[in-house]
Amino acid sequence: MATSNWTKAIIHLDMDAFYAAVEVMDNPALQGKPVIVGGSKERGVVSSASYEARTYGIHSAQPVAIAMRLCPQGIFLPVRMWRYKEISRQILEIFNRFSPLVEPLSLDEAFVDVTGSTRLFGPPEEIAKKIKQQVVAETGLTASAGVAPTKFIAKIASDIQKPDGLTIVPEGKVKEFLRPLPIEKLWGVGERTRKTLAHLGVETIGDLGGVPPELLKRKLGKHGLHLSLLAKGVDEREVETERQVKSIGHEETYREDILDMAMARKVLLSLATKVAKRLREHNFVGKNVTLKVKYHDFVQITRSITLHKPTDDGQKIFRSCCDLLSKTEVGKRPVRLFGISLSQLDLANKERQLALFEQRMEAPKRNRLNRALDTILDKYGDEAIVPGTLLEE
Amino acid sequence: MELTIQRDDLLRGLQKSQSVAEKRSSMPVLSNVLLEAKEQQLHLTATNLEVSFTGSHEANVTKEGAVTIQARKFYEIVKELPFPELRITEKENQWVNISSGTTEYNLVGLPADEFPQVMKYEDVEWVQMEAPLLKEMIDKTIFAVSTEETRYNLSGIYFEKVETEDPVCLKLVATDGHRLSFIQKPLPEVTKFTFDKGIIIPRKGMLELSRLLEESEQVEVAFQENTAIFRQGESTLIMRLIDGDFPDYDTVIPKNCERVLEVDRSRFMEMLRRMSIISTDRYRGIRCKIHPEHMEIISNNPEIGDAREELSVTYQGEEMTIAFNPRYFMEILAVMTSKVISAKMIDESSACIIAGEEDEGFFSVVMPMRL
Repeated sequence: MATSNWTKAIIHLDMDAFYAAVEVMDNPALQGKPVIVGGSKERGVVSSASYEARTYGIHSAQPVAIAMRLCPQGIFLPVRMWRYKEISRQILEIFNRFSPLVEPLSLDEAFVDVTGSTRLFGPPEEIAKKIKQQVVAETGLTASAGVAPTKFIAKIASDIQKPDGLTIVPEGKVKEFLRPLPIEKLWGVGERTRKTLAHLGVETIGDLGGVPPELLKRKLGKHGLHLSLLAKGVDEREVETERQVKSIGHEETYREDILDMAMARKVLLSLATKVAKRLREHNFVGKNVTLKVKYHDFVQITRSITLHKPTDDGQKIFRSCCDLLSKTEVGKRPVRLFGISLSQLDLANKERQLALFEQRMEAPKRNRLNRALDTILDKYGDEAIVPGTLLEE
Repeated sequence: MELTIQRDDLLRGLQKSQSVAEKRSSMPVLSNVLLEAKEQQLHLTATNLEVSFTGSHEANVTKEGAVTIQARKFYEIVKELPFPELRITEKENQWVNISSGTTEYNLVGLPADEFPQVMKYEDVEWVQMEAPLLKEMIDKTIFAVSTEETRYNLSGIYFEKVETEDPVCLKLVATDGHRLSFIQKPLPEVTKFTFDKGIIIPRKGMLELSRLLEESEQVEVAFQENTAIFRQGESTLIMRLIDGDFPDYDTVIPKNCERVLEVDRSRFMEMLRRMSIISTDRYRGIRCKIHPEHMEIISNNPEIGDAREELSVTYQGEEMTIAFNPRYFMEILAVMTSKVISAKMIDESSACIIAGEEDEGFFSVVMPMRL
């Protein structure tokens, strides 16, 4: 069998319009129609849109209300997460046939390192074709694939000829491939970085490669150096099969803007309780609490605080968030979304030095209380027991 | 400025100066030592703005003046000079020439007026103290001081007057929130200390003082507003007190411990050193299984391997397994002198109190770990 001359071969697979495609597969009558999967009409955003819907200018993360205006005849469907998860498992199982090194990024995309699989399955481009074929045969869905020597180039490549695309970037062609691409294609180039770079006359990845790294460092800090390496096609990150969870959180968009402090505290308590439960489910404690606030005009800020000791207690998280509120304009400016997340995670049952100055019994007692609450919530649902202040009307 | 001075005299002062001076600072002059030549004396001053050192040495001053030069380099130079006498001469633009025999250095200096004003004190009431006693008290508590920047009120040793007892005592306490060290010694002089109940003196100052106290039998102590001053011969250390409340440590000292372990201090120490070799930042705890006549220590690190050892002990109480950071124990055992030490415990998740008969007035408290 032919061996390849790839020193490293990574395939990035991205399912085409995944949620919408699953809906169409489950209901063939929708075939060829603009299908939009998303949240509520009032405040929700588009999660996925079929290619037919995209021709109307609909894209993910767009408010549903706008999508409805753009395409009144569109078929708007709610998110059926359980179903997408089910299909996602099937797809990952296919990927796993070709390599044990599979790193899922979300339900509909993953990296597969096939460097060591070429003796069994042929050159990387052949493997990518086989994976695509098996996905279509077994799920009826199409995927786009990018094959490259590094993760980030593979990811860019999979996006080049969507849907049902296959783009191959061999080692020798990396620079040529990157040169004409707009810099937004690079991971970590958002609006702000793009503007900074535009001032330097940088519009394409090729332009970026021509800027001295020291200058990028001065303008963008460490991030600048990282971008400079990416622009040269250097990306040392390995495909990680078990991704390290970096943070655990939850956010909610509210049907009506939150105007006053009392209401804000109330929804934060509810969020904090949920996040704490999630932490406990994953057996994590977090040391850093981040509060995210999106105001009515979509301006978004985050404020965070580092605790003395990592926690998985909803009350503690809630109290930190209340402290953080003073660093926001909540109460003065209407809020459409709140999010709470904990980072600097650690395993809850890892060895832990106990502290001297702590109200003796409080910690273990709260711990037991939280575990007992979790048991009840698991059995009777998330609304079975809630903090008293959240009960009203 | 121009003078000649005895190398060994100057060296003693410079050693303390360079130790107090900042190693890396946003203010370059803080890395320097201030030299002031006046009336047949060379005065040295170094400061990190929290702790200051001043020293005076006899010198043959032919021209008075003042300048600052890099403390660390100056010390290293003087240490290596081949003859017992050296000459210091200030040149133009704060260049300083140092010569001894055929050896010659020219160092870049900074003007003396850029050097910060050291806390001034006048008319303070000096109290005489036995230097070895104060040194013992500092050494037996300083290791427990917190080095975390966020725990400002724990970043020094707490000095407390105990006037309710007879004889009156001085008490020193330090804690980092995980362990605590305590020593109390009878000291009639405390009634003359001009602070109310207790003060917190920064760790850095205590470290310098402990070194200074090695040199003689007596030390003079004075307190003034927010400073503590310690004087020995021609050397003076001035330190700014920590502005914070020391926690109510008495509530965390365990009372009514029913389980009592007694063990040979040096054998326990050696055992802990062996067992802690395989501990790392992630896995630092060791388990002690305590039986009536022996104790088994197990150290387990999934990244490296495991170790175990047994030691005979005397123990009264229920058999138990308790986990600790071995470093906390080793630091305590290292400052003690008792042949046999006792560890009194309540249970595996409460603080343990360590003491020894020959370590009078001293005990230490350690919180266990949960493994």
